[in-house]
Amino acid sequence: MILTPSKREQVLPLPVVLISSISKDGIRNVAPWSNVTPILRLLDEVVIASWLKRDTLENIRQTGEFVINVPSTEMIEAVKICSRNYPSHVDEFEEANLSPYPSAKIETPGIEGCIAWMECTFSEEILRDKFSLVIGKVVHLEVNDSFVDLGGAMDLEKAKPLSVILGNQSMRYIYPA
Amino acid sequence: MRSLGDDMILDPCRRSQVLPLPVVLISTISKEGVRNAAPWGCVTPILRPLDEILIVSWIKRDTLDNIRQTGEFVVNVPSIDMVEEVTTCAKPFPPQVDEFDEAKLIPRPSTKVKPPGIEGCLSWMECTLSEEILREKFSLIIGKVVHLEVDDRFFNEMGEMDLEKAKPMCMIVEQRYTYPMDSKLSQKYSEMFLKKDDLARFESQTK
Repeated sequence: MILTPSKREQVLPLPVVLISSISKDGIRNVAPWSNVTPILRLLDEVVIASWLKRDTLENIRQTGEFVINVPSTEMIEAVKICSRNYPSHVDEFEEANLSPYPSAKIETPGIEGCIAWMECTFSEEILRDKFSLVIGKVVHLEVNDSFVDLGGAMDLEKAKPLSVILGNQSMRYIYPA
Repeated sequence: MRSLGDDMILDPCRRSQVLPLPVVLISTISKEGVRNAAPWGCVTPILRPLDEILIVSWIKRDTLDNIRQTGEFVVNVPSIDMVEEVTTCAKPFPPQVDEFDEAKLIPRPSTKVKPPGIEGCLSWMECTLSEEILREKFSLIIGKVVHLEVDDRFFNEMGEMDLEKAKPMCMIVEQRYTYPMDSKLSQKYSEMFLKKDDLARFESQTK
């Protein structure tokens, strides 16, 4: 069957992360993100693709930092709430009842209860007509002891890190077997 | 800021171990016609309703050279049943080696590009090179999906994947190749838009 090219997110599973950021006025933002990938295994950057009008993108431009939080399937309800199109002045930590997890190297807080936190500083923005690629450098990586073994490897049965596969009218939340 | 305490700190380069990544096989051909197939985890679509896809590459990769030479590639989505083929293709073969031969892959003729896809995969994204963004240690390749096809056996009539049958390959780096389980929880796209009442509530906050 031939599908229209824009349906490409229906044919491969993508990770789901929550990106936390703060505006220059101090408003905290949390947004679910799937268009994210590490820049090569052995290096320390990540790239995210963003629409041009997004509070997250604005905040990263303003403060030069963000946190990539890796949620478990236990947090699906919060992820759903954060996916809504709140106006810029709304604090998504409050809307989704999320507790901040203080960061070690940047001002922007992570989210309590996540599996891992990547504290990032802004490296570069590659701006195009319809989208922007934001490259962030992971300056601090921390994992939740409840979900990893002593070597730092994720216990998948406990952690159930969130992924997603898209459908026609809805998306399905999934996790690695 | 806080004093560090409870949780374990990892080197930033271990960030791909905390994130489930998709696994795809990228098939290309060199200008001499040598076929290449390489597993790839650093890949993501560029926004849902658009038609481009981003892959991140080391500077010295046959896949990258081939894309530069021919301007085309196919992103094949393998199922977990293809672990052996993926593992074979992950080996560092010299450029003149045909990875279709090495991994016993059967080419699947593409519709709009010259490089063949790989038979037995779940879906095939035929791509043309839109842009390369070259940096010191890596390159970002933006490809435009010009043709997307799926194996009917693994998708319903709306093009939605049957996860239990398809078992698309994904991985936790340094740990295992795996496939997704359905949490049975889903979200309609329409749920992403606030209802009128909520919008009004937020409007009033600004006044």
